[in-house]
Amino acid sequence: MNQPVNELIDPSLQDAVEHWSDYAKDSLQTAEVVLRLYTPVKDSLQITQQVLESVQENDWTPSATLPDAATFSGIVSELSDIQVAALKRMSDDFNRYLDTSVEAGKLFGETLKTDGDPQQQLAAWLETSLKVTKAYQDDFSQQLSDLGAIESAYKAWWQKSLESLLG
Amino acid sequence: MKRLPRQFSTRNLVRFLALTFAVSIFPAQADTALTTKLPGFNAELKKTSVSGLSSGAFMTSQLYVVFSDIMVGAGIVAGGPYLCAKSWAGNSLLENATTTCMNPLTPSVGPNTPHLVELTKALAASGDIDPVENLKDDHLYIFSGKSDKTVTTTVVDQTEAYFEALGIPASSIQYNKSVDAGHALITDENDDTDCSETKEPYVNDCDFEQSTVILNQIYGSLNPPTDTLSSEIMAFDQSEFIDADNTSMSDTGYVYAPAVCKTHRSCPVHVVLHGCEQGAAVIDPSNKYYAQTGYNQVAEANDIIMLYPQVQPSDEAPVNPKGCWDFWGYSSPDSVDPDFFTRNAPQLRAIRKMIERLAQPVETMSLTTTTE
Repeated sequence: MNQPVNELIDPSLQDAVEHWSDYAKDSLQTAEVVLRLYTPVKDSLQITQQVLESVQENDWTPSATLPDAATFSGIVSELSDIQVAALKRMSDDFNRYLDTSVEAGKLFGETLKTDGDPQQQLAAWLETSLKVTKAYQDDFSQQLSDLGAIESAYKAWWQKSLESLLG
Repeated sequence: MKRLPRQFSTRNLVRFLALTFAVSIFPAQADTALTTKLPGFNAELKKTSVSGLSSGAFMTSQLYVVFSDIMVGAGIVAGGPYLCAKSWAGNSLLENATTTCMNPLTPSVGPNTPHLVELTKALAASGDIDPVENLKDDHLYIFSGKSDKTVTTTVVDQTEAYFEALGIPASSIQYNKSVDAGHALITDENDDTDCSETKEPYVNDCDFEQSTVILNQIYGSLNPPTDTLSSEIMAFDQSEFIDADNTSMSDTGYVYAPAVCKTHRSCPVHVVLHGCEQGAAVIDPSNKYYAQTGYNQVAEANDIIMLYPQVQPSDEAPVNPKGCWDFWGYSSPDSVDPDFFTRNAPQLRAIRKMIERLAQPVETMSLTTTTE
């Protein structure tokens, strides 16, 4: 009756719990770094200053004459390219989620067939869950990265368009 | 359901994740190597050059343009043009660095080269950087892997366009984008990562030694690399060159000086800048970047001193979780208009001081410590 608790727990289950614990620790650390990068006031001031400098440098005063057709055509063409590229990235992201879901289904299916005592079955389930969680997290990171690129592209296009219309 | 503020849920999270490529955090490790003071080797200051990968390539552009008075060339592997993070006014520096300067949606919203050229000329005119005329007789090597999705060829194309716009003739630029390589420095070592992959430590086997090609392009007609080294790689105290609080630079840097450069010859210095997650604090004890990328063997055969400054991860101020070189301003965390791009920028200043130390006369004391 004096058996230590550790000996009652299957090593595979201990490992699985440890892996989840490490993952939680890493995620918390990541979240803390993200919060440190969150500097909305500084970013807003930085962008405001950059825009003001750009306005001064480029003399963004409305022109008396209308821009020529080629300018308009160029602006529309670039916007069209951006929209096509954005659609492709979002479509790729969606397909990646689908692939991950299919793979997750297979993994869980295989895990359900695991032989052994309940502790080992639980360990296998935990390990599979962690693997699937990390896969979804990678997909989510990629999607956020692509959304960032899309947002950045539209802002760059806006600046380019203004410069070509007013410059 | 309670929603997170939009700023948190998208923009800032995106910045961080795009910057770091993945969501793992590497803890900063203490420098454990025994270090000594960086000696003077009477190096030939006016024949300095620099090369680097990724953030090290962006830093290469910075060091090269800012101190062009002492530079004769540069090697840029998967990196964008100088001042790239200042491309678009509507994006913060970090947003530009992680989108425009890495994997922009289309070429038209990539690095804003005409604007960057104008900014560069203005900085030169104000004396914040050396005159751009210094660049015209230099030689450049630029590389972009066909399978590189981290810093895409769209961005690297603009590096070539930028330097041509500053007056470097196309004939003096060797731009290779024909290799199916991932995001990595290239070697001819079978044990390194397969050519088209992108994974740590970002050193890939593509059947040629990129360090040799870079140095040949810069200095021309070099001897083939040697098999043995006449001297040891020296860990030196990098902290004595750091005079700002938030550089994220390690306490230890590395230098390789062939024996002849320590006593008999005035040798040029080539600065080698690692990429994110490649500093010694991250990939030691393999010494991958400063000992196994072929640079030292070329240095040995051609009497060149190799200087390997080091930067390390930092989770607190400055926030630099992947240990990247600063090309968007993290080394001035409190400034809305951070200086990471002039002769007064904290990291650039520190590296310049290291180069100048190497150019100082040889001292007997330092020789004793380095040849052990």
